[in-house]
Amino acid sequence: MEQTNTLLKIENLSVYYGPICAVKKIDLEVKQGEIVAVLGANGAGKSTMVNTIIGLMKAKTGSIQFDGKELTKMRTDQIIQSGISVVPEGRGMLSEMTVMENLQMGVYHHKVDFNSNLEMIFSYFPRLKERQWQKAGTLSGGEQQMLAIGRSIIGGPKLLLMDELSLALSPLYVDNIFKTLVQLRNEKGFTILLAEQNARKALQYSDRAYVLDLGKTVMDGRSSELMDDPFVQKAYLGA
Amino acid sequence: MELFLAQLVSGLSTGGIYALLVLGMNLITLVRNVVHHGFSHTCIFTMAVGWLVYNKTGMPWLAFLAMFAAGVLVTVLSEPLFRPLSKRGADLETIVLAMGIGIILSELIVNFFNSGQVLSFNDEMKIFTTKFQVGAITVSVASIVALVACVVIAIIISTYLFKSSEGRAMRAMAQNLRVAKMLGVPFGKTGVLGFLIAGLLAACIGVICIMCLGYCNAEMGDSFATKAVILMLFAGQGDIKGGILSSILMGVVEAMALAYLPGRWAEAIFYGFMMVIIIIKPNGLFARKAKN
Ligand SMILES: Nc1ncnc2c1ncn2[C@@H]1O[C@H](COP(=O)(O)OP(=O)(O)OP(=O)(O)O)[C@@H](O)[C@H]1O
Ligand SMILES: [Mg+2]
Repeated sequence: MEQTNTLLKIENLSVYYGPICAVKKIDLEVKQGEIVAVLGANGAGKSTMVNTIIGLMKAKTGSIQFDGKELTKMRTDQIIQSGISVVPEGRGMLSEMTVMENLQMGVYHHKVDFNSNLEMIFSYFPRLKERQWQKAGTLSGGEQQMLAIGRSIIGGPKLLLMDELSLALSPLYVDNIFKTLVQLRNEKGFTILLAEQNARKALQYSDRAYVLDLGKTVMDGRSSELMDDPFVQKAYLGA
Repeated sequence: MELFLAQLVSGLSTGGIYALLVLGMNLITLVRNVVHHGFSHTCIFTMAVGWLVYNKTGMPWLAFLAMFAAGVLVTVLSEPLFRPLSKRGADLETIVLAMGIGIILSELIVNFFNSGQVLSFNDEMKIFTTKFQVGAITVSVASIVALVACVVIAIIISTYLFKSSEGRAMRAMAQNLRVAKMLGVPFGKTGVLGFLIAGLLAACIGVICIMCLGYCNAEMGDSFATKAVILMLFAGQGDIKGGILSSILMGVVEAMALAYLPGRWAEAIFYGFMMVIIIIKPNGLFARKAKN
């Protein structure tokens, strides 16, 4: 598991919505094969960071290096093509399309064997196989989250960005989803960056974590250590 | 019975033309979320270009080629105009732009083609001029060929939209542009592709209209556009199948009304019916449930 090559490196990133500063200074690194969590309260800037990585928002300062490329100078479609997939906040269903069509959209940019990857997705999420002809908009919240994850991994990306995976899911279900992620990492070697409000679960299932406060990375470390940190416990774990 | 059959054929082929018009507008709606009022004018413009090239050269195939070039050029060149508006989610401004394009094309036809007179096509351009008798009724081969052509083209484009990866990407853009971008659909390229196909379609419609009608003038752009826009909204903006079905329905009803209703009430009745549908079914006749 001791991998050392860095896949994603964010340095001194700041992002503005007009005059409003949403991200002040993010420094962050994700190594190959890691699960890294970014924790933060509402409005800390997690989604803004995710959207800036994939080029939907433009960085004002700083750099985002991914796999030898500078992402801040690339268009979203080029960034996705270079091997990044997203599970967007709110799941991003194409609700009028079927489960199958949503999965097909997941390989829009990736030259992979759709059918064999489809079998892989169905083996992790058998529920999706049963529902493959159903419209995505009519799936339950949990099923939509499975579809969002399935759609993000079917193209075989190098890096997965997952924004608020646990949102509006029951605690038991959140455990299931995170366990599946860990399994995916162990068996398929995915690298995952999680943006999460649910600090307890995120720390439980990630290797390392960053704490984001008012648009700044204020702490980082091994997840197991952060879980015992008094400041983190007080501010994010409600202890 | 013979009258009914003859009207059915003619209604179906007019309906087929409406269906292609709506299909072209829907293609543009999918990628740029605009109701392209000027699309019908583009079709008429390709006819005018075909007329001009034929009259100058006497070569029908060159004329048809020029029609396709004109359709693609006019449509693709208008994409950069819509792009910034579509990017910032503008609604009303795009209507002004689309109507403006239509008006400019109409004025071009009036000012530069046959000094504003009706453009009549030579038999060589109409291709099929034979008619045959079914009992007391005359049926033209052209309207049957047009009908078949409409069906084939509609099937090809629908299959493209529903089965190919680019077509799926276009529908994804219409459903949720943000998500489509997150999945890597390039906003610029896919949009241009949609406009390009719509441009080819405009020329196909032009050719079919030459076959069926044998003439064109600038005003036809407006009357086609009014019907196409209403049909499109009637079926639900971006609803591919609904647009085709309601267009064919309208073509047939019009033909029947013309044959069986006295006077000029046909259009008033039909538009009245449409108005009611738009009021009670805001998402279109075929929408299963309201989107919120
Ligand atoms: N479109 C926008 N226009 C202006 N300000 C925005 C916009 N989107 C986000 N912001 C602001 O940027 C800041 C960061 O928002 P962001 O969505 O990145 O937070 P977040 O950490 O993802 O929060 P949450 O956990 O609630 O999803 C917030 O203060 C928010 O109000
Ligand atoms: Mg967020």
